[in-house]
Amino acid sequence: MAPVQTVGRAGPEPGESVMDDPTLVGRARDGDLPAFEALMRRYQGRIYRLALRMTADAGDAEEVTQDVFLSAWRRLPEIREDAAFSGWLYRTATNRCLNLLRRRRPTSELDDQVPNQVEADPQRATQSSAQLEALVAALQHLTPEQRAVWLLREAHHRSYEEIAQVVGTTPQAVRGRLSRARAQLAELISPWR
Amino acid sequence: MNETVSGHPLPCGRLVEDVFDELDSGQVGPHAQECEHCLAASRGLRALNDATSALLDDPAEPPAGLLDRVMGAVRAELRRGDTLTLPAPLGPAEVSLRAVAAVLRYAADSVPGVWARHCHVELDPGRSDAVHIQLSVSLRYGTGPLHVVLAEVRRRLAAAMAGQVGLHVESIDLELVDLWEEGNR
Repeated sequence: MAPVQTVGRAGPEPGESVMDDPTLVGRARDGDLPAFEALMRRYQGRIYRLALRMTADAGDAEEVTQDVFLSAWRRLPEIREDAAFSGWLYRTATNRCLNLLRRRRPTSELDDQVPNQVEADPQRATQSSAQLEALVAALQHLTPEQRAVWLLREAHHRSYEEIAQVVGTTPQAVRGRLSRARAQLAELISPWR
Repeated sequence: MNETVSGHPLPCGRLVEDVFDELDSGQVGPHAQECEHCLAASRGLRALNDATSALLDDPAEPPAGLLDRVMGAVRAELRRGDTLTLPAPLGPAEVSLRAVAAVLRYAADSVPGVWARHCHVELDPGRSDAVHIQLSVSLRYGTGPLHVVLAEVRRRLAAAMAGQVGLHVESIDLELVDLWEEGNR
């Protein structure tokens, strides 16, 4: 088997070249398992963290991540552009999260009432910092669509065009939603009234 | 938030969004430099920016078993695929084309600057011991004269096919489909 080099969060060592997505996707489409595993190692953390911050539930995030990568494997022949793989993952993951939250919504309609301040949940002991804890709690007070827009842009640096496709709107509308999400989050984590 | 709402108004009458836009552009007007509400809003943005930095270093990791579980399911779904029949003294041996392709990709990857991509192998219709290979490759920018690099790829493919699979190579179609640069993904 070809020694497919993989990359962790820290990135490649100096001098090490890591196969790019188009190469790995092309190989994985031929049934090359190490290539698909390298793609999953590259993206599973990002997709899991997106799903975790979208759903605020580790079990849901795990399920979404597993579904996304299994679908990716099955849909490889349909992903025409080898370079479009990461966009496909983000789009699929976001849609799965939004669907899951839509099913969950009837029990949590009170999200419409946004309190002035978010109390940090003391049970979130695993969070590394109080700031992150407050932000994670504040995110749950955005609508799922707004949360998706904010996370995809600010935490995952996806393009406005790509985010617009994911949530079914225009890049201009994405800018507007992002701006409102930012104002709301800033207010929630640091109330000025 | 309702899409029809234009923004979050401050007690001074300005929108939080407009104050943030000013801060982003680095051109804060005289009002925002003095107004307590605008100053509080800008502190809010700084707090959000700090928290966003913390989110970028989000320590949450997927559960340890997730990768293995997905790869297990993927392996189970992998079709056995087409096979090649190899002539052998005690009867023919079947070898999966996917395994042959893996050997060939490995051989092509061993040429510095070359990454193998799509690989297709088929038996020559007229001979049972010869194959045709199609391989697409991505080449590191500036690796060297193309004909020299591709000739080396052909040489190693033929050697791997003969040495590790035991079949003669009748033809090799190489397609250069992409270029990559060191340090880029």
